Amino acid sequence: MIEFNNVNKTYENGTRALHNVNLCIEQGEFVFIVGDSGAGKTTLTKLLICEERLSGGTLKVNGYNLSKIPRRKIPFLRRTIGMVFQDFRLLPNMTAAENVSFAMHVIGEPKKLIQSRVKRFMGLVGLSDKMDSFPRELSGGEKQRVALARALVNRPSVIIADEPTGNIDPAMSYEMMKLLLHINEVEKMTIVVITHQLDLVNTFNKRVITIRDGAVVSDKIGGTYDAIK
Amino acid sequence: MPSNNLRSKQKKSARRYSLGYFFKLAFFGVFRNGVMSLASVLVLTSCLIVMGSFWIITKVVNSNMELLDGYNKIVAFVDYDADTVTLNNINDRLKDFQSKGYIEEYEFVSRDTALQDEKEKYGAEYAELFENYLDENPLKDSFRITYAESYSVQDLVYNLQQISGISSIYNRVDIAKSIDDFKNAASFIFTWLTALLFVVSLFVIRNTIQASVYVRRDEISIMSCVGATGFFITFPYVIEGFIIGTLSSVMAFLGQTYIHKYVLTDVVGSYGVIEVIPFAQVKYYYLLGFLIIGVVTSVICSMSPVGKYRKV
Repeated sequence: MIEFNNVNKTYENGTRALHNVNLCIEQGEFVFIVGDSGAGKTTLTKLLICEERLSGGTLKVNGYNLSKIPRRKIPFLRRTIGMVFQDFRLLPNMTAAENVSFAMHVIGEPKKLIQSRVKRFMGLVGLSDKMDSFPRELSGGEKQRVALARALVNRPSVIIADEPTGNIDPAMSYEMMKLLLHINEVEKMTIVVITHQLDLVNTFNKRVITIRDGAVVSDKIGGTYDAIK
Repeated sequence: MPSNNLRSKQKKSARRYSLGYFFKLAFFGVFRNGVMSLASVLVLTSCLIVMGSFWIITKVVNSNMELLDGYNKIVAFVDYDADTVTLNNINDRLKDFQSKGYIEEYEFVSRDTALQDEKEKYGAEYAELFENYLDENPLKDSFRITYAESYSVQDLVYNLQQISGISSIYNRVDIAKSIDDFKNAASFIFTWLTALLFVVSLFVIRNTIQASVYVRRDEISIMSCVGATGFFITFPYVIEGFIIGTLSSVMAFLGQTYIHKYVLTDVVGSYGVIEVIPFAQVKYYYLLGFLIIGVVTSVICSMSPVGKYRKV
């Protein structure tokens, strides 16, 4: 569960990125967060994974109060969140399977569990036959699915996808969204998708939160392109 | 706050870190960034060899200066016809100076011993030169005095001249002072040069390793993003630093062995002007010094740049 209460964020240079944000995302929800460039979407993501600290208000993520969380507990918060980035962030010298297993190795999971989980989640994203391929041998859509498998493999309770379809073609974007929906239904994970692609938002008819100038201006279940406008 | 299930999962995870995995990551890191690792090893090896060379030069200079320490001796000659009472009186005064710390040690050299010493010094070839002196020894009894501090030697000489029964005093205070000054200057210069070189090498190694960490900044940020702890991210770099440090120290030891045995001993030592310290006498100092400086330096240098990329 994610809970924003009067959250404010002002950067050191005086830029006010978010002000008085109030939101509640329940466990198992599928949410789109949309808004123009500079609206505050990225800041919101950074606050969720504690890359940035709040300037005011309270933010609770998976039971952690991020306004008070000590630095040493941040890695444990991040283990409850899976991140998918627009630029994939795959390690070029590791195979697809190694990129996924790497996320489990770094939190000290045992070898046997790593092998079985990697197999399972590579299968879930439809890349069982690409386990030994290096990122340079994969298409944009395939790379993003590897990144999704890496985000899923530690079984977080929330997946945050920051512009996950920004670097892939429209057909692949649609497939990617369908995959995220499938994961939301099957794995019961909360999915937060930050996107610019309003056609995708309209197609899937899910909860849509619109941010403008650092404030939430709309929050509707079954939001559409018109509603966002 | 997080649920109990989550907490127990975290605790289990924390226990699962294996040293073998860290070593595997570290070796993987060393070989994957082969060029940067090689650069770090070469820089550190060179710095250690230069430091080792400075150290041995300082040691050789000091030990050679100690050989010249015969110059911090004064010879006080006694009147030719001095009796036992006079000699005892001089001895008592010297004992008094010794107790006050002006004199380190002294010894009485009888005229017979002095003649014998001279004969031995010139050898059998010139033995006949001394035949004329067998009946009447022209040498005087003397006291060979080693003084404690060169700066107070003028006062000591003055006080010795006041003792009844002492006819003359032989000393090389000027040379002794020059040797002392040279020793102090050499120690000062070499100590500061070594310290300066150490600081310079710290910067060079830190920059080299920083470049190696920069190459892997994506890896570090992904590790941080998926929830790796600071310890998990940093520890492989510590081991990597340890590997680089150990490798550099061993290479520096081999290089220094060559320099000591073949350059210092065989080339410089062959002129016979300088007495070189045998390699066997200092080899453990080299090894230990290189290992301590090499490993500590590279471990510290490896750790420091990682933090920058952990702040994802």
